[in-house]
Amino acid sequence: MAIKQKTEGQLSREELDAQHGEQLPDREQMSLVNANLALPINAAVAANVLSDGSTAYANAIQGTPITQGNL
Amino acid sequence: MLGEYRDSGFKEPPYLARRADGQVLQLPRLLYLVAENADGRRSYGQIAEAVTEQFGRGVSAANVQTLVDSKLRPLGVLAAADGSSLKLTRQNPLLALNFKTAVIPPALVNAVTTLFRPFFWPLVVVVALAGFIALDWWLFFVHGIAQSLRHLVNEPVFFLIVFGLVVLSAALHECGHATACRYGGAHPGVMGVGIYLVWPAFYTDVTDAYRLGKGGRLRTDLGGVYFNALFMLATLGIYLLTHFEVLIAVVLLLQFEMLHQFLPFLRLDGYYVIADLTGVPDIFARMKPVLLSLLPGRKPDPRVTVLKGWVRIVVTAWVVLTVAFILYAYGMMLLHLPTIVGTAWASLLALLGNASAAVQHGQVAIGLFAALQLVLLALPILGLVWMLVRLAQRLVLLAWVRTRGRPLNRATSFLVMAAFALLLALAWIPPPANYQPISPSAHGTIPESFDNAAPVFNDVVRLLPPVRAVLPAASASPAPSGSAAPSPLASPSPAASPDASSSASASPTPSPTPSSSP
Repeated sequence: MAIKQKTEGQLSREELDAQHGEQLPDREQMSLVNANLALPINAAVAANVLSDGSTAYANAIQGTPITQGNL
Repeated sequence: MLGEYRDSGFKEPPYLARRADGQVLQLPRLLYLVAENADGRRSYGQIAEAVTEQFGRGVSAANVQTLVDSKLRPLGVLAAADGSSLKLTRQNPLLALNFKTAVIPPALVNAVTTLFRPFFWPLVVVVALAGFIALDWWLFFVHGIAQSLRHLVNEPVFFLIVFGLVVLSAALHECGHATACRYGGAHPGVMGVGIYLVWPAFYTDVTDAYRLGKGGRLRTDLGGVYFNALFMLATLGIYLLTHFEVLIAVVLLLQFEMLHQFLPFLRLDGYYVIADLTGVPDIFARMKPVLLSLLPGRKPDPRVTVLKGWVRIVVTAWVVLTVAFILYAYGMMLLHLPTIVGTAWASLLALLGNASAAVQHGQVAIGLFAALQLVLLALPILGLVWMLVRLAQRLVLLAWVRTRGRPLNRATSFLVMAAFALLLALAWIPPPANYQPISPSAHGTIPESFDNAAPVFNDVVRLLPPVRAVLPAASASPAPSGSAAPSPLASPSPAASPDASSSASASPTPSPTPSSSP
């Protein structure tokens, strides 16, 4: 039955049209197996914590040329 | 019928209903009242009478019939008078879990939550959190992490133990969500495994937590990392008994995983925390209306104006940051795909060599570790390919369906998609695509990622004379066809994402995930 306009005791077509239901996604709480085991180790190496003496390897680039020779 | 969505961020709180197929629906109060009173025995007139009383406004029998026929039946909330219902479709949300496989049925999940329930007693929570703070203080300010990592580097076999414990902790993380959900009064569903974007993942269905108040929902969100913290405390306890240093590396790694879980831009725990703090159950679905509402001169979308003022500000900020994050992360991942593939291939060959050498020398553990790394290497790449294929399918389908009867719009949509395809083709077909592993000199910084993408855009400009006319500066760039990036920051091979570069360049072993963060 079509409702043309709001009358006493009932809602208008606009009010009815404004009623929207929506689907909610399932809540799937996840835990990722992102076992990039190298990551913290790299961080630690870069921070020099693994060096027993003074050696550290952390992708360092030698920027200054070194000249070696016998004096 | 689940009742009101409590502590919501809406001006008028919405209501929740659950269909027979498990799909949860968010309904305005009027629709909810009609559905609640439509018990299959009452007439439209009787329903209207009851709804009028509860709603506080006059609702006629004709109103009820309209709402039932045009709203509730299409949603699948109510069946037709003869008991038949429309074919129901379930939502396929953005950035959701793929390849889901349920492993543990709800009954068993229920039993597990009974076992773990005491961990949510308030006193236990307070003691555990205090213990966790003490653990972190001890780990980073007293004991340190050097010795554990030295053991790990010197004896790669220990990686297997670490990996096993990390997986166990991830499984317990799920028990934390499920137990928290049940503790609040909701019923957790299945637990299972799947692939989230590019990562293997465990999941727990806690959809029923929608019915909880803000406190219960937040408890459900944080239950996972809380159980990670408990796992770390237990690991520390075993360490204190055994002094097995590798256990400290496990605790360290889990701290990283914990932080990762709080990333708010994907459907991880951090996202659910924001959704529950604001009281907006599906913020991802509001991305489009929020973005459209930001356009100047455009009337705000009703799906935005229904939100409370402060919620609207938070949701808008989240949408803007998330869109920027996703566009950058995925854009760069796609443009740098050749480097990712090149790095993965180099890792694959190295790992195969390691595995075969280990097997030949009877070193089973090292062989197993190499095999495990091979799996971890393959999964993200396969996940990435799957994601791309699915995205392309969705976009084509969407463009076809949405532009039905509008040929100009349809042509424009497909033209835009063709332009993106061309861009990707230029990025992936050599030259300039360079299928070389990440170079030792690559830094993987954000500026570098843009610089390395420059040759692709230069090629686009070169191929499209009209664009060249508009952008004379770009076309005047000294990039010859097929050369590397003209930027001073350019490396011999384009760099991938910052994570990929850092892990591959300094890793003592080939990195198992060349493209970790999307």
